[in-house]
Amino acid sequence: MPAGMPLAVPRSYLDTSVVISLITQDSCCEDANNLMEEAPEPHYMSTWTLAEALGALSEGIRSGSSKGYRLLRERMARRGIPYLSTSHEVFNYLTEELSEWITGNGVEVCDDLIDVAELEVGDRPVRAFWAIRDTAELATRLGLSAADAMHLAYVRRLCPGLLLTVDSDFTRIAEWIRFLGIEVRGLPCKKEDSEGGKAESAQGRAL
Amino acid sequence: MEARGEWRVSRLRKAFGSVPEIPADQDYELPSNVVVSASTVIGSDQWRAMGPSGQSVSGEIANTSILTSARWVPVLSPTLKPSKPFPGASLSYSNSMAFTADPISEARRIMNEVSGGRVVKVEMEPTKPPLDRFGPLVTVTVDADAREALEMYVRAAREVRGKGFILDVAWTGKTDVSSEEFIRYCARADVRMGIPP
Repeated sequence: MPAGMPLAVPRSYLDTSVVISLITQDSCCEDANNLMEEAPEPHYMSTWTLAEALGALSEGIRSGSSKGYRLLRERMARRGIPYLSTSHEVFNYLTEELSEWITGNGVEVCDDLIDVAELEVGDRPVRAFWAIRDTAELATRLGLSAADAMHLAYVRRLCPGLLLTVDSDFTRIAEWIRFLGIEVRGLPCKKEDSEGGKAESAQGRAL
Repeated sequence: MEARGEWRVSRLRKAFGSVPEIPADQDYELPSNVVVSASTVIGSDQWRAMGPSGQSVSGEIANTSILTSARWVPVLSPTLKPSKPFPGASLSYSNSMAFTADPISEARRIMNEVSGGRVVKVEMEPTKPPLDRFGPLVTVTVDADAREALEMYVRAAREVRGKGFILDVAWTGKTDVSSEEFIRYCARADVRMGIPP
C-alpha cells in the first residue's frame, strides 16, 4: 500500500514506548495500560516496533536493571542448567518474553513496508531503506531534527488510524502527525533525570 | 480546572478518607505492608490499582467499595509526582484479597492442580531487591522430568500472577531440557507471573 493512503478500518498501533512500559512496568505503565484499554481492539504493532522493543529491553538487561533475567540466572544455577553466552541468553529470553506478551495481550504484529528507495549519492544511484529517503525529505521540508523526522517518517509510512504512545519524543511532532490525519493518544510522562527531561514532560502534558 | 480538581478531591476523600498533603520534593519509602497502589487520573473518576506483579483492577470512585484496611499513605509514585498533592495523591492499602496469606499452601494447590497431585516438596525463601517487590520465592518440587515439570510451571504461572509470591519449580527426574529450552520456559512463566525482564 502506498505511503499516506489511509486504511479502510482505522487500526490502533502501539508505539515501542507503550510496549516497553507495559512489559517492564515502569513509571508510565499505568498510562500505557489506560491507553490500551481505551483504544479499539485489536492492537497492532509493526516489526519495526518489535525490533526496537527487543533492543530497548536488551539494553535494560545489560545495564543491570533487570529483574526477570536476574531471576533466570538464579534458576539456572539452582537447577544446574549450563549458562550460555550473555547475548545468547538475553536474546532467547527476550524473544520468548515478547512472543508470550504479544500472544497474551492479543496484539497483532504486522509487516513493515520495506520498499527500497533510490538515492543519488555522488555520481551513482544507491539503494536505501525508505526511511532514509523519507527522513531526509521531512527534515528538509519541515525543518525537523533528524530524530523527529525519523519518528514522523515512521508514523507516516505506517499510517495507523490511531497511534498510542507514552514517549515524550512524539509530543514534539504530534501536530505534524495529526496533520496527516492520524490520531495520536498519549499521556504525560515525567522524565526527571535532566532539565531537558523536565521540558519534555511539560510538552507531554500538552499532547 | 481548579474547581473540578477540588471537587474530585472531595469525592476521593468521601471514598477513601482524608488525603495527606504530599510535598512534591519529598521522597517516601513504601511501607512493607503496602502491596498495592491506586491513583486517580486527570479527567477521570476511575481508580486503578496496580499490584507488584502487574495485575490491574479499577473501579468508579463514586461507588467503589474499598477494604476497611485501606488508608492513604505517602508513596513515591513517579507517574503521579508532577502534580502533587492532587492529582497525584496515591492510595495504598494492605490488600489481603489480592495477596495470599499462605504462599506455600497456594503454590502447592496450584501445582497439584496442574500436575495431578505430583507435588513432593514446597519450600519458601525471601527474595532480595529488586525481586522482593514480587514477594518470596516459593519452589515447588514435582515428581517429573524437567520438561514435564517446566510445562506444568508455565501452565501454573498465570494463576500465580498477583498473589504476592514468585513460583519456581524443581523436579525429581532427569534434566531433559537444553539451556535454550529452559530459558524459553522461564521467559513464558515470567510474563504470565508479571515479572518484567
